[in-house]
Amino acid sequence: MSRNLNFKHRVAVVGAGMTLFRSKLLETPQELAWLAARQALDEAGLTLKDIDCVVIGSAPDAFDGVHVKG
Amino acid sequence: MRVGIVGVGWFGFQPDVPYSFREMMFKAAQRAYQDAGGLDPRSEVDAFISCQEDFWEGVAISDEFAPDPIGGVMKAVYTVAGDGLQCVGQGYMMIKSGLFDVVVVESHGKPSDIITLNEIMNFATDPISIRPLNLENIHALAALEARAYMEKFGVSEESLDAVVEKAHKNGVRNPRAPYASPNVSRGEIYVDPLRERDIAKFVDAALVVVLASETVAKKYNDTPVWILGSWWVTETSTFEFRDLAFPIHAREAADGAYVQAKVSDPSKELGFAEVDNRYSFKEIQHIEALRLAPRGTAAELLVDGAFCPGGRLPVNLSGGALAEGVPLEAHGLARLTYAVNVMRGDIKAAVDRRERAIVHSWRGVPTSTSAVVVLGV
Repeated sequence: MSRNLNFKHRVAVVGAGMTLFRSKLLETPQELAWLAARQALDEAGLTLKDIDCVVIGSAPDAFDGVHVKG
Repeated sequence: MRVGIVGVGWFGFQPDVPYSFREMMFKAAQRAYQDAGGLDPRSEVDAFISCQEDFWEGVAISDEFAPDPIGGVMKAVYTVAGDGLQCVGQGYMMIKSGLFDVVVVESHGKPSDIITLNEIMNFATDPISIRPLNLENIHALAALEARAYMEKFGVSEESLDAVVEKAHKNGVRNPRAPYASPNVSRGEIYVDPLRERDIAKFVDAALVVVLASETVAKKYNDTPVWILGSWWVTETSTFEFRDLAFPIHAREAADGAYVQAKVSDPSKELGFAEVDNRYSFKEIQHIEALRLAPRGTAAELLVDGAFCPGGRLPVNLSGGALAEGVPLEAHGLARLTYAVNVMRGDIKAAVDRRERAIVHSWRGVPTSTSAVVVLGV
């Protein structure tokens, strides 16, 4: 075991997006995710073709009522 | 920096294991650590990853239950909501990044605890377009894919007979294949065109895999199996938008892994394959999607024995899910560990070339996620 805590490569956040925080929004979860992603891509000046990998974090499935949400 | 598999362990593969999922995880982990030269998870592992789904577990935030049984308490642990092979991909990246040297991957499934499996699987369908249909038999979605594929490529029921026969014949040589029973017909129509034995049964199992960087791998195992490529893909969640006749997710996942592994002609460069066959027709589809045979030709080649033990490119020497059963998200690790055991020579399989292999898992209906790992020794 030798966890390399002195890792040299830096990782930057180059764009971010966020929807309104509001109860009973009319958009579906997929639409909300799209809105936030669109903002983040626009801010970074990127398109979907530039993306290698997507990491999604959200409430546990049981909270959303959707199984295999990933 | 290569990433090696230095330990594998499994427990269960019985329809109804009389232990809790936590005990199953513990036993599989213990075996994997023993296989990795008696590795101590408390002092020698940098991070742990568990692949599981809350609905299968019947526990919200099931992540919290991951650390204890595998020795990960107070250490870096996270959960991936996906197939075990996706976990392997995460561990592969962590080690490739240079941040970690030893990563443990775990996945388990205890479907015998689930009373309402069909309803749980219905919860995975689109809540607006499909769930209101309240499908009485979720396998109907697979049947639609089977019909679309068979119609488009002229695949006959005889080809499905051959897949099922091969799976059960191979399964009798696999000590963890409780459903293997050769020389039995495919049975009655369950959901047209699928018959009873075209659909894999569920099974309880836990699996653990220890990954290590090239720098330390030999410390734990004299014969590490290297991960040459690891890729995974999910198509759209909208079932209606997918090509029902062909699993593009499997094709894309394989292509990603092949680029990493520098494999240009998989049908010639790979020695054998372990692919998802939770439905018989899926084995044929996946053989084509993984470029082990040209599209529309795998059914005929399979009937001719090309994918049988001793054939041109043996597929599912284990019998696959049809013989072993589907341990929910642990299925990918079942395919992976069998391939590792064959490559290391632990299992005496009828395969000419065991230096390079491909492992594939799909997450079952209604998903469109495939994960692929290319292995080498």
